[in-house]
Amino acid sequence: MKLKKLFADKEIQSSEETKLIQEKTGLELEIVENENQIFDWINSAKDPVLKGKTCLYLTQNRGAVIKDCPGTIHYTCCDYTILHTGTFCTMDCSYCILQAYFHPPLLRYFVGKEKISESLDSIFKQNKIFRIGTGEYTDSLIWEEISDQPSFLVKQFANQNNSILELKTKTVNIDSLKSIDHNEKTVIAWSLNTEAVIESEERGTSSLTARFKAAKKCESWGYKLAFHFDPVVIYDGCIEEYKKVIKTIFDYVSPKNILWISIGSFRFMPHLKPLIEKRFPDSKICYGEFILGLDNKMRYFKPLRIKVYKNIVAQIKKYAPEVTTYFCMEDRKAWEESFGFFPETEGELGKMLDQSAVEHCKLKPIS
Amino acid sequence: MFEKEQFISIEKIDLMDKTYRISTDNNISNLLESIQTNGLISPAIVKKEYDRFIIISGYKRILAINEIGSNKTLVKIVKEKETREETDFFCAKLSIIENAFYRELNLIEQAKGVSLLKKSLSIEEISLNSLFFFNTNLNTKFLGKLLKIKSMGNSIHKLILSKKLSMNNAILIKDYEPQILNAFINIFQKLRMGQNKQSEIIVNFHEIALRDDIPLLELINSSNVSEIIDHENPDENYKANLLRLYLSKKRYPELTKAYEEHKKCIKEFKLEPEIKLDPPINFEGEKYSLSFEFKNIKEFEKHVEKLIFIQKNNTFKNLFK
Repeated sequence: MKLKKLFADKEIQSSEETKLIQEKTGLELEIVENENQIFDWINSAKDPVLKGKTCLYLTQNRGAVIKDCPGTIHYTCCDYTILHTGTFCTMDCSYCILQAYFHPPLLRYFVGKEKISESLDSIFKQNKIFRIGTGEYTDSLIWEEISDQPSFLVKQFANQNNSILELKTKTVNIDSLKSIDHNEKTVIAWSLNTEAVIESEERGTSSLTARFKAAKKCESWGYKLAFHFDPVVIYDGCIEEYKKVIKTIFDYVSPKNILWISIGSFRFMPHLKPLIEKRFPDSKICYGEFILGLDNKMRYFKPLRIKVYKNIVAQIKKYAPEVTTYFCMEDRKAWEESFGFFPETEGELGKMLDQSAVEHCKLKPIS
Repeated sequence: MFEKEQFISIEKIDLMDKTYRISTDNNISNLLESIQTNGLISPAIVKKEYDRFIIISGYKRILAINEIGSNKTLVKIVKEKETREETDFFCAKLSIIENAFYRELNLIEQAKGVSLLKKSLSIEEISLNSLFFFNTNLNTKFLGKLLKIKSMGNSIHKLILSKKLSMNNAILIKDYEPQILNAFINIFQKLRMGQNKQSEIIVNFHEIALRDDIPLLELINSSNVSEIIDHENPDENYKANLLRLYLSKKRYPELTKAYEEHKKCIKEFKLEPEIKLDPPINFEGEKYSLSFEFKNIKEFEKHVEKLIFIQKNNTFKNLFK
């Protein structure tokens, strides 16, 4: 989605970050006295979600920069840490929860590297492993084209030893990451799906092949990699197509450079459904066999999920038996039937992933 | 407000103009009898429109008088306001109030009323003054729904009035093309069911058609559906349940199968009807639920004995795999 408007709060209009973004976008900077002006403008559009993707609001993060991933007690969470650097996305995936998460949906970039540095410094001082990502409320690398935020973060993480930064994306915006001394503390992760799902559900994202090529480049620059099959979408013939995607990963990159591969089936808050139906009338993604899960999200009927999971896991194990593979938000039965074990105790999955991070990224927590 | 009451010729009243007609009741037999016995107690209200009159309130009274064969009738004529808009708004208010403070308006009548007021007021203003207009409080969301059903055809209005179609479900089907709309109307005319079951049926039809790339009309008119609707059993509820089950099975084949298999297993145990063994909801969680009712210790012991007995049954053990 091409940016058409650039707004900024008055107090940050002269910051270097603001100037850089203005220069890179080539847009006129409109100063905002009250953010409700932008909200009203977006909400008045026929499709506020789409409008929110075309205007960028430069503001300050007035809340926490570091947050815990919001897991639920019913499904096993990986204890991830979120670095909150911006919100929303310029790409337009039918299944994206961000469409219904922000009111109004608005592309926000948080100006203020000092605040990020301060927050990270407190993390870097701790005697604990952290897996930190910026891809929870936005795509990590959409910002690479218009700011130096991704490279700034890579550099921040390069100078410490207890945390890894995961930049999760569906783009191929990696050029600025090429010559950075990242010290193996940054993992570039791609969200993967089948060609059919990318074609029908992921508007404006990079093709699967482009993502693999970008991964290969990052690998050649010494970065560690990760892949996320999330959301897995169930449709006729999907198992063979997911298996094909998995095989292709290893045509491009080596398993030894992959920190982890996660798998999570499509799940959504019920109120997302009418939005998808309205915004993506050709999409059939909502019409799978969904039931209301224990976390009040719609999920595929469990035996259907497990059937697909088993095949995906088996295929990953076939090509990369050593790669740490895990489920994002699944229960005991899904784990046991697919992996043969269940990380039952609290924090067990997190520790499994920490271990992979330690091994691949030479982490050494301060003792 | 009104000019002096006066007699006007029935011929001068435009009986075809139903702009201010609120009532959905067309039956004039009781009114006819009353007028014949007691005369006209309350004259109708009309508005002068060039050389004719249009009825603001009292449509059935005028029809009854016409039916009796009288040439003239006593009416109250609305005084013209400064602007045409003001007069129209005044007439709209009158037409609603005359009905709403006399009896409870049904949904279609409320819809007609809102539609009339909407020409002069916003939805928020109507809501704010709804007690004054409709003798009841109506919120903006509800008023919005009324406006939607107002735009629908007579056959939908009839279904709503006969309580065979809820307002929410009427809105759910309102944007379908006429043929599909008629197909739904046909189903709901023939099968009686509650609002939730009705919306489940509409949604399942819609989603199956989209998922399977089948034209919706083809699905509704398919032989399987027709067989259910025209089933020889005259019980509408029975047929409605058959249709609901058929669609659920088609929409959620694996889930339905799992419930059927569970039911089959339970049947094998020959449990007394007082004992209920339910799987996790949607087979998602891990917790099964067991409950039983008993009247005395003897019944309690009997149920416990039965449960201990089935515990050894392999089918029972397989339930949890």
